[in-house]
Amino acid sequence: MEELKHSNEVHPGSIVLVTLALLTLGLVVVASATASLDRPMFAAPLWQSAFCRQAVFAAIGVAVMIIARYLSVGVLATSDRRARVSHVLFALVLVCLVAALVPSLADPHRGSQRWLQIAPLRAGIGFQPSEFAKLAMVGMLAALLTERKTSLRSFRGGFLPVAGAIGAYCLLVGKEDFGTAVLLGAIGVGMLFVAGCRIRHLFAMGLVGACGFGALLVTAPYRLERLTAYQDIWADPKGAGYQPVQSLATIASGGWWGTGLGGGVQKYGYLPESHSDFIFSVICEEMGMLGGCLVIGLYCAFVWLGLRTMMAARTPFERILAFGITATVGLQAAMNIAVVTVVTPTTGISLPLISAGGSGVVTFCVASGVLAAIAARTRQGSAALVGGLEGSDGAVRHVVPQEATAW
Amino acid sequence: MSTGVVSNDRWQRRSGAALLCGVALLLLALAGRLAYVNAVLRPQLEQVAHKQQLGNAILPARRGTIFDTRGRVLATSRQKPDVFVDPLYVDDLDSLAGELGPRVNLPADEIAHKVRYREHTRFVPIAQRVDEVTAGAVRQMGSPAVGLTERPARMYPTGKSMAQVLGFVGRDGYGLEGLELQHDQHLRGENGRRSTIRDARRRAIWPSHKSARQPIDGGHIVLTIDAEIQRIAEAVLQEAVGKFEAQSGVAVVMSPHNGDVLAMVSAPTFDPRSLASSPGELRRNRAITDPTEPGSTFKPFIAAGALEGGFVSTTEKIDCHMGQHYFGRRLVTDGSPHGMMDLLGIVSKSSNIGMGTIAERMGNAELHDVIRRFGFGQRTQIGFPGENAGLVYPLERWTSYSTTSVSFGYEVAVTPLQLATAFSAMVNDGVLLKPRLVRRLLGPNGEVVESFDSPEIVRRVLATEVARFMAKEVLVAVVEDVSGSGRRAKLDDFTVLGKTGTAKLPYSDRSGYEPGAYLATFMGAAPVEDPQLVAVVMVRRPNAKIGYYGGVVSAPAVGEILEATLAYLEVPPDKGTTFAGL
Repeated sequence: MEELKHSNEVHPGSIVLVTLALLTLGLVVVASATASLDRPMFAAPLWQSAFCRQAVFAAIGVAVMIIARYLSVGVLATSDRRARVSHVLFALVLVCLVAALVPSLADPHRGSQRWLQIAPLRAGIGFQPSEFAKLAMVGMLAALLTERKTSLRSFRGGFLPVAGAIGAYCLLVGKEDFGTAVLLGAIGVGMLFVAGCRIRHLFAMGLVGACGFGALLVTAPYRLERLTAYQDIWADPKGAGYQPVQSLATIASGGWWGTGLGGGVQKYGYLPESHSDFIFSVICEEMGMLGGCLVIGLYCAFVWLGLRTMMAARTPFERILAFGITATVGLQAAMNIAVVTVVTPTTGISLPLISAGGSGVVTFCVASGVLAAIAARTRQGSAALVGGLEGSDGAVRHVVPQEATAW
Repeated sequence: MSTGVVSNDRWQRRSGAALLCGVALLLLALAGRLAYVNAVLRPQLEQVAHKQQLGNAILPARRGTIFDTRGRVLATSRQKPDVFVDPLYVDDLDSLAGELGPRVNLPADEIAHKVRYREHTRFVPIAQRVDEVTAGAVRQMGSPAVGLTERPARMYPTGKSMAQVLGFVGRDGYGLEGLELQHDQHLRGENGRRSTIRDARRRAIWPSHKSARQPIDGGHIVLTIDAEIQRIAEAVLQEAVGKFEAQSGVAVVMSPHNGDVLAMVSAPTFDPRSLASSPGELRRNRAITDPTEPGSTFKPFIAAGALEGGFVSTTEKIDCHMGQHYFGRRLVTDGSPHGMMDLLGIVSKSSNIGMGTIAERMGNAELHDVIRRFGFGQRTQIGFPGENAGLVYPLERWTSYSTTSVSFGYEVAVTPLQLATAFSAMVNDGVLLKPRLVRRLLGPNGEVVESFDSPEIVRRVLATEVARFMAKEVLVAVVEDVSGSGRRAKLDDFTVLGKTGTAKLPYSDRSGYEPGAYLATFMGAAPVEDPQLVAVVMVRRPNAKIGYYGGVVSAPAVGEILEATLAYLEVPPDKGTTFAGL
């Protein structure tokens, strides 16, 4: 057990804290970004104001994060349970994804069929299964990749089923949500890589995956358009290049120190999706480069905490899971910021924990809770070990040896 | 525990840490991108943002007021509300139109049509420059779809009376003609500007912190014109034009001692409140823009010049050849035959032959010089757009014909203003003054910016004795003699001096003079000992069957103008039977 580095242990509270910081910041900026001349921030009916909806989502998120933080400790303890939970979740999300493709079930008011309607139309409650899909896939992969019977070194026996599952999943998500599919693909490959599969298998998968994404590009003309618009955003600043130009103009309006909270103008109808996908631009306008760096810093902190949690994790499952969660948050944030700063073409990727949207907030809160739970288990475990396994938590005592013999 | 497990653990930790570090590096690189956007791309991008966000609102400056010499308002600007509809807030157009219609006195379906026609705009003008009652009624509706916006409107309280002198302003508030144009810079002021930050639907969010500018109101001007004298002159002229069925008429009243124009009338006139329905023809200020051959009213100037130059004495008798005489091969006739006459007789009886004889003695160069000295052929510089210089041919173009023609007022063209100015010089002891229409320029708050109170002397044209002789001897005879051609200008209370003129009018489209077409002129001044007023009336194309002589058509008009104006100015009478008995 010399590999256990106590220095890498993370206080689970710090993960929760960073999550809360991002969540709070998001709430403030959503409030600002959704203000308009037609509808003041706190106009009645309250439920219809975007800020209030987001506040409710954030509250739900905090609640589920805390639940996940304590509940997952138990789930993580036994390989049976965690595998079952992961697979059930995965299957559930899969059903939702398929259901969202059925026109009669999908929310007719939203352009692409990413939304699944769960309540009568009037209430406007629906959710985006692709958001939950991220967490479900990460959990499922972590379980799959660390199952005793799986041998990743063999192509047909271990690699192919997993890679195939990832591919199918990406295709399913990618039909409506290209950005999320790319993200999922990258996370999946990363998890395969970290789990220890053969590199040449990954190359083969990458080749097939590239073809798959190419197919996705060709089937939806607007994606190609976005790609060409990205080549030269000034070619058509009122048409295809509108979003990128407006996003950059919003960032530039803020300068180094920003116009002050609520002082942004671009959100008043100039910048589309200013409260969701392009919220980072609004942060940069109102809080300047300073605010932008603060957000990036918070994500870096999250990634750093996740990295240390992964390093300290005692079981491969927890390690892979911690990696998957951290990578998802970090990579999605990076992809979103890359889009709004026009480093990559526009994709519909939100800024984790900050963009308005209930599904995303809840998903990432759960993910944070699980990550915190892993950190907690690691601390408890080491405390138990240091204290000669005299912790009162039976699970820890029994689990550690059990896991150690699993491999 | 096998070593395989340990090495797999190590791989997982190391590769996982490496990938996550990669993600963190990616994020940091994006922070770099952010810095690049802010440092390098910012100027261009800020332009994009500013251009779309900034909206400029004009804060209109109040246009200055035009006062008459006694402070009566002749032209002023007032904020008047326009009623408009914002289609964005219209829920039920028909009911809105039905409610709005009676308030602005328009049929409901017309309003509905207007709104429908511009449904996708945010501003549909419904009624312009409504009164306060209408504005109140519209305000009372409380509909978000109906709004009022104040716009300056130009008002001319004297209406038609001074329309050609004042001119008018265009829809955008710029002076287009007359004094409104001449003093536009002074009257207009400078519009202010307020920049507001607007949302994508062009609605103001908050004021921009940059470049708000308060409007600078326009200055006022005080004219030399007296609205009451103008009214008198207008009434008299209109009556004369009407009575003699004339085509048009001009009247100018001046104060000879300082060059102030007290009245300047053109008939027919137009209504500045309904510009659209008035032909451009009527908008000319004929007294300043329309030169004509003056005819016999020109004779006193030539005669005075001859006296001044010593070409003739006050007592010398000149043969007028009983009404018919050849100058070279040109036959010149008089209206009535005269024998030997002195200068007084020649001018007061208006003998062409006598004038021709005097002119031959002077020669072309001297004639030309005299005419130019009186200011003919040059602009008076009164300060009015489109002032005509009249026409005096350069000396090289004069022929032997010109000598005689000019002596009785042909081959030269003068404006009524030039005639009044030159005549003023004659009654002002021979000193030519610059005529003026504007007495003072006032700042926006009434402070005097520029004052023209002291008369501006152009030159001395005649010796005082010559001028006095011409005015008090010769020209008095024209009016006061029982057989004088201007006897119809005679007044009970004042001694009037003056000169008649009946000029033939040329064809407008070919050479030669049109039979039966005359310009009937009279220029007069009173009272004779210290003339306070000069009045010139020109009536164009009177109906010859009713009367066409200057002494018949215009002299009575001048008499009436002088009489009423002198009374108004409370000038003490210099004669009158009422006092004789005391």
